[in-house]
Amino acid sequence: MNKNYTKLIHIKKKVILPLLILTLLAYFAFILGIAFFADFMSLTLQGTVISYGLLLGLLLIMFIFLITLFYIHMSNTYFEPLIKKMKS
Amino acid sequence: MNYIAASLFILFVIVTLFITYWASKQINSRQHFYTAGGNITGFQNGLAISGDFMSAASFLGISGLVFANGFDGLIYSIGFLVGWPIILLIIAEPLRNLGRFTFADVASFRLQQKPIRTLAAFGSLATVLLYLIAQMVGAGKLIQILFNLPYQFAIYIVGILMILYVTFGGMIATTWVQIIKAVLLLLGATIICYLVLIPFQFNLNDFFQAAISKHQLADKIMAPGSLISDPISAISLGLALMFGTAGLPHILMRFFTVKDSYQAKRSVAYATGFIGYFYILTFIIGFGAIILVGSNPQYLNAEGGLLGNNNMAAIHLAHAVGGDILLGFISAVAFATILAVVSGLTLAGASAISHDLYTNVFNHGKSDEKKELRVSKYATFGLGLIAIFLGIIFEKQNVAFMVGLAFAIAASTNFPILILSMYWKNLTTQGALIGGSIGLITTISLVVLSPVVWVDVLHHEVAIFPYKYPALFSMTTTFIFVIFVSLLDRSKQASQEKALFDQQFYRSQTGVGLEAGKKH
Repeated sequence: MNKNYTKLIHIKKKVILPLLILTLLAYFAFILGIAFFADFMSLTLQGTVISYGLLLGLLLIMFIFLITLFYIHMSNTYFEPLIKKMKS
Repeated sequence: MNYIAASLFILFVIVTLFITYWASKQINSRQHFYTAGGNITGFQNGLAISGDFMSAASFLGISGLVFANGFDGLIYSIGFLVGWPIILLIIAEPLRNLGRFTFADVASFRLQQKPIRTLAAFGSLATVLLYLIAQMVGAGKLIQILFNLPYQFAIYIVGILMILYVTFGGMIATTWVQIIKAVLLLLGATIICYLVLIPFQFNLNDFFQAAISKHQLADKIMAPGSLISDPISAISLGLALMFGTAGLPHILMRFFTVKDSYQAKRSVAYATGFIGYFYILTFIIGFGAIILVGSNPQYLNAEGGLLGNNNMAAIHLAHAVGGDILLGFISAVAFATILAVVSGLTLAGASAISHDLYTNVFNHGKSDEKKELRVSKYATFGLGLIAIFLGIIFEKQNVAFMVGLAFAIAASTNFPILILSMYWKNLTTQGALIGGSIGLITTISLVVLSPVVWVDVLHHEVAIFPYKYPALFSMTTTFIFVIFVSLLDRSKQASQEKALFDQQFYRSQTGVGLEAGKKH
């Protein structure tokens, strides 16, 4: 039981910490980008009226969703089987 | 009077009252009342959570913000959304594994019940009441415009229906009302966007181009505007939106309605998907309104502003693309939205009163289940009356700051206590109590001294605290005090609390021991 627990905590740390840092970085890069580099965020993609700010914002929304999907996937593949073992 | 809207709304009320009646037959214990017996699936809960988030304020408010400023509206949406992966990664699982009814269950798991539950209940009630006032006042004004009903009458309808749903149907009715509304709102918003984008053959560039040519700010609507101008405000607003979500009691309580932590995690992923999709829709709706509503005299008043106010952008757009039928549908959904959200808020407040304060503080944890259930119903009734009362007295007040303040309190009091109790071994009762109280007082003081209250509400010349968003300062204050006081706490009780951490952490990560049922 203890071996499984140590393994679970170890692998959870390895999954959660990078995802957490990635989420925080992506978000703060976005809003600080707006605060400090408004000029860049206002540039438009070539041949369109769509600004980098808008594109990055929409990508960020998708990225946030993908992070949750990825975490659920990792949880199903690695965490849940270990937890199941510990419960039985 | 819009008859289509009125009849659709009456239909919604009949269906939901029927659900409430059905739910009331199943409620025979506090489990059913607080958590729908834990029988909600991850998918259903994901819809209900997204429903809590898709309030009338965020649907109408964000599309109105986009209508007025373009891009800036997106900054709010993303801030609200980014709280969800955080909740998924570090909150959802331990919360479900440690708690039963309220987040105070978790915060007080290894700490002293009475002081910690009292603090958590104050944090919950403060957030819930501020949110309720904002929703009630918004509801009254919206219904006034949509249905031509007197403000007070609208407040009574919302208050009475909400009391009926929650008192008789508990969490079962509250959840299903929320789910139905979430589906209707997603459907309605999707239809609007579809109709808006058809003439552009779904070419977004042409669509934005058309908006630029109609808006007085021209191509500036595609770029960051005045919402975030300095980095301090940017970070502070970001923190409040991000961590505030993780401290809202009406959101946190939803994690107790599913069977286990596995379903809790799934519900966050679903919720994030729905909310993200919804925010993209509100963005398109805001731009659609720029094109079809902003220059159409039919929707403008004599000064050239929108009839009603900017928050009516989505409603007018529904009429512009779908005529009276879509207008009626969206109006009815907006009304339903308010009902669903205030019901959830009231239930969260009632459980803080009955489960935390009544049973665990006044009755020393010796809970007579039947009595607690009765108290929670009285509490619901009482909170409903208070909501009606506050809705009426705040009619003419500027309540715009209240949701911001609720988020600031959630981020600066509820969230730090919750997260430290889950992950930091050295947290002690004294630390949580003193730090949390200082955090609560700091947050409220900073908001009162900031431009949004000191200047906008109290009409002073210059704000004493220069920033609109206090979270950066108030959150830091809470964390510093909680950590310092905990570290300095050398009492015997403190060492006992620290000794319990490993066991608590084990359960929070595995859920082992959950079925055995803890003392609370």
